[in-house]
Amino acid sequence: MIVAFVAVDQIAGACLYYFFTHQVSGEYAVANHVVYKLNEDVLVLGSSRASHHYNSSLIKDSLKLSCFNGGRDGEGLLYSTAIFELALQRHIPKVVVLDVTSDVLSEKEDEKSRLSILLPYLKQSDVVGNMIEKKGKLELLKSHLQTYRYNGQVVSIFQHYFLSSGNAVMGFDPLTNKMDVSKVSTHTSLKPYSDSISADNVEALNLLINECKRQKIQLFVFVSPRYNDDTQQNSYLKMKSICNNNKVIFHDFTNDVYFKNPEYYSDRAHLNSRGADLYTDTVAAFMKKILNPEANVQYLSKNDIHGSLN
Amino acid sequence: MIFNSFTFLLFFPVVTVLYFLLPHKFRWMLLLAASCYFYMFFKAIYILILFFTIIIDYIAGIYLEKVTDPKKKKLLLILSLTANIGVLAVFKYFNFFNANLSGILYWMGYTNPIPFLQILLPIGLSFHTFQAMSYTIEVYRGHQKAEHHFGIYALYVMFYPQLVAGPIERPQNLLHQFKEYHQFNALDVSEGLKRMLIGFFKKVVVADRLSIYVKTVFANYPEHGSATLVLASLFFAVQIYCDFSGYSDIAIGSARVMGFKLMENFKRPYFAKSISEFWSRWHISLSTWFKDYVYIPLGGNRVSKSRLYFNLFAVFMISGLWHGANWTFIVWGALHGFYLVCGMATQKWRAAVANKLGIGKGGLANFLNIAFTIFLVTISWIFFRAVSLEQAWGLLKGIFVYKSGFFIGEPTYFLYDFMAIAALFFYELKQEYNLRSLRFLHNENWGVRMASYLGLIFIILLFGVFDGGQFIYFQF
Repeated sequence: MIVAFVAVDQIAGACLYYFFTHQVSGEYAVANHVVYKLNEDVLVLGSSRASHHYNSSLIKDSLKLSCFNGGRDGEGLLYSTAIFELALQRHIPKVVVLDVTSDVLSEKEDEKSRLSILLPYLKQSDVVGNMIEKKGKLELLKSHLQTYRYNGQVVSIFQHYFLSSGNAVMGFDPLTNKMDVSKVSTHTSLKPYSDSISADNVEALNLLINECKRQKIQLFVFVSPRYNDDTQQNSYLKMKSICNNNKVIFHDFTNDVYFKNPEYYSDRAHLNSRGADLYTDTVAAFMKKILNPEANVQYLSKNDIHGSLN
Repeated sequence: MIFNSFTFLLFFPVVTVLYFLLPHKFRWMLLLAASCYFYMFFKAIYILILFFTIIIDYIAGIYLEKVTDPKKKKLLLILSLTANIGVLAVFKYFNFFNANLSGILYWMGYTNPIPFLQILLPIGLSFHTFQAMSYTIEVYRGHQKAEHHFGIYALYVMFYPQLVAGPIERPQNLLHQFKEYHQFNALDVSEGLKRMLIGFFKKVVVADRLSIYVKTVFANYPEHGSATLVLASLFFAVQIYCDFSGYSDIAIGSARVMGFKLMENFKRPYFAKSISEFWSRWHISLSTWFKDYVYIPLGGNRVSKSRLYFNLFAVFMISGLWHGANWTFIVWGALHGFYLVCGMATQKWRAAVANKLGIGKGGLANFLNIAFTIFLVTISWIFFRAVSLEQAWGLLKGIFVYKSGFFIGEPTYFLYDFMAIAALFFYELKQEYNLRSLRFLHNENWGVRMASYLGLIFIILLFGVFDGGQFIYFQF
């Protein structure tokens, strides 16, 4: 029985690995590109706000640098750092854009449990193992079961292996709907500065910054626009201070008046494709000024570029 | 420690192997030590509460046997029950009653001077307290001899498979089993492991999978349409059944592996054709506890109709309060009491109407009765699941006042939900109607059996939710 179990686990695990790595669409197809195929100059990392806000093609046209958007819905710094480390195993991009939310360093209930999505990449890097260990001491032991690594993914793997769905291009996944402004509150339900900082998230951010320094990668940390202001968080202050201390270019577009037009939004936290294109143009111009100070670039934002450029 | 944790998967085989390796006279020590370790995984200090009631009931049991004067016997029983109920009152109900008192005093223009207790509810408190009470009551009634071996008695209260969420055992069924020598029995091991596997399937593949949808919808119920709220309520009905009966399956299975036979706690309750039948299939160890120690002492069926209705209603109100110190649970219990009283009062009338319509008997009648019972039970679960009466009313309003929109969430997860329910329905149907031709885990063919074991294990590994957390009933 035990022998049969181990054999089936190994065979099923190998089959699932094949289908997993050959998905043609979906979020894992994006992650697989970063891990196994990345050869672009610019890598965008972050949550859904990264994947929906940074148009890779526009960045490529503007900076004359190829770009891939590796953002993923619902994921935070632990995921971004792990996927970045995995990418570095075989390719070093010239520029990394890390899109962060104001609460990126806050302690979140489900952030660690979501790390299971990294299990299929376990054998690729020790960093993944270290991240998964944060979920629980026995998590790595469980992951010796090959099938467990694909827990909850089977239908999705086959769906994205056989069917190409979604409209993501080079990882950029534009949202097409327009926000119904009558249903949206600009107020946040969060109490100002009530969040507690996650030591794991701080560690992950430092790891990512240090790795960029070590590999001489130009790192940009951006808070992309959102319709409501949610910056009154300890996490936001901490993140700004870490970036300042490490001389990382940080810019917050949250309250950029240029992006307060509801026509640009899909919901209060996400730009739609129109907003994303405008934002990408803005951010690309911003980056171009730093990457190529000689270029005559007009920065689109009506706000001044502050802090980081000084 | 929870059954659906990896720690338990290490703990269980180690304890079981040691159990069979040890000579019989040392086994109780191992089981008691293992049970203490199991319990202390939650909050170690709370084991002192358990020891407090164990010592009181142990001494009470011995004296209840010795004393012949009925008045003194009654006094001893009252002392023992007061100690047990006192622990429940302090740890589970104090803050609830204090909050209600505060509300009343506030309404009258006063301030409540009694402070609230800053304590956490010990896990499974109502379960082991009720099991301990059943011992002293049975000794008092003369149905059970007092246990003179302190370790064995402590083990009766603390036996780890059923310590935190039952089944709530009776001393006549469990105590003697600790004194019997259980030889390694391949059949017990095989049946026990199969039962555990079914329990894990119910918990991690069905209950915890459905809980993702339920949690999302209930947390934001004003935003959702009626169809979504109906579906989430139905999902919760399945979730709570699989969560609790899954726990019972693992408890019964893990005890069976070591040769212990615990009582059955569930018999496919959603096949019940009436609310009274539902209660003969749902949480059997608790409903029989209330029947034996509350309902029958109140007069049982041998009273006037109005008294009978009152008794039923009172028992279910208490049952609601047993579940939790919240008005939602009391309303849940009261609803079931109301259902039962209505069911009894209208029984003849309903039968006459059904006969006139030609649906009094047969498959259609059974189907309609099952569907109506599920409908009533699901309505009551809304109160059970809601965090406040306000939320429960809001949910009911959302269901009955039509609002458009349907929430799917993550499509693959939504698909898993239906796959899990379909698998569960197939399994329950097979059990209910004893469809022998559809045997898998008990198939006579060795190959089919092995393939079924492996299939079920891999279904759990691939589709289970392993971060689902605690069992719902642990909080009681």
